[in-house]
Amino acid sequence: MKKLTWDDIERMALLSLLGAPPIAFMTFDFFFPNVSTPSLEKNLLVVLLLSILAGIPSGLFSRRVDLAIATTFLYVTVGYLFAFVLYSGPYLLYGLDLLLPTFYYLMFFRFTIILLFLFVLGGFMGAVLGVIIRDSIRREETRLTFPERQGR
Amino acid sequence: MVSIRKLREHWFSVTLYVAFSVFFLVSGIVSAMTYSAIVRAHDQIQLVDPSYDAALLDNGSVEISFAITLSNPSRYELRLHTATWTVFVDNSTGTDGGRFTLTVEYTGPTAGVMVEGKSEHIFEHTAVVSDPALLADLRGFINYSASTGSSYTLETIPYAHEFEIIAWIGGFAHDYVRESYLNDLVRLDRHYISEEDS
Repeated sequence: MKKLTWDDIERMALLSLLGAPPIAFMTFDFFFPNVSTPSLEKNLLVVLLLSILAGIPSGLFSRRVDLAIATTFLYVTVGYLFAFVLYSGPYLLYGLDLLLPTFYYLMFFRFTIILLFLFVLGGFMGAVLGVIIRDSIRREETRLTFPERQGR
Repeated sequence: MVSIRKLREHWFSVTLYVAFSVFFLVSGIVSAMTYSAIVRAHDQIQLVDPSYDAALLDNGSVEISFAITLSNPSRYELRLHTATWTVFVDNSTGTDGGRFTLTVEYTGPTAGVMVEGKSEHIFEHTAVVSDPALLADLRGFINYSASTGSSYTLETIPYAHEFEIIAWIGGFAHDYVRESYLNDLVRLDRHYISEEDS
């Protein structure tokens, strides 16, 4: 098994931070489609397509496929936690009293848990697509750097 | 740190990815701010300064009036769904649940009442009680109260005023069938009942 380098960790952390906002927004929007801007209106196909799009960079910028998959898990986790922060907005910003915190957060979790599967599934698909794009770009670069000689 | 050289190598993909991420970051923050402002509006919007009066008219009828202010310090306008004003007298000797209703006024959605953000709206209602049966009930109440030591007239009877308003906050969608919590989020329900009865 290959070792995880410091460069890999930095790369994963950066990708997790950049991949988290779409996950957070889609989760929040799924719970409050009437107040979010713009709204996906709970369209799961659009959510899956955006998850694929969000997953592409982890495949494109990671050196290894296992790290790309780990990055997918990481940014989904960070994004989901960020969604909880957005959901807590009124109580963090204005200091309003939250009467039933357990119920409040459990309701959010219960309504959005299914999205996590979509995010991970879409993320994997995106990561694989990213790897394919990366390999394609590398092949193209190699071909341009070392053009075929005439007569061979 | 991930070297700048590596980022420069993929500048196009990196720029696209950052733009994609920033777009959703801004959307998420804007949406959360909207949600927070709506929750805060629920806390801020109140019915204040109620006033009510009763006057005896020359023809023996009673004119009952009521006014209350809806204070809306939030940034969202309120679209009135229903407003209901009810006047009744608490009559513990009665058999119809202990009270008899004198008048009910209802304002529906077709009235198109809107209260702009950061403003106030005064709801004013007046009703004349001229039905002989109702006036007989009121006189009966006065006579019974006199036997228990209270001296009332048609003007000083403790009329109870009940006022309820249901409005929608802003122009947010509220026609969800299964997800009623979304309707409740933008639905404002305020209720006032005068002290005499409560």
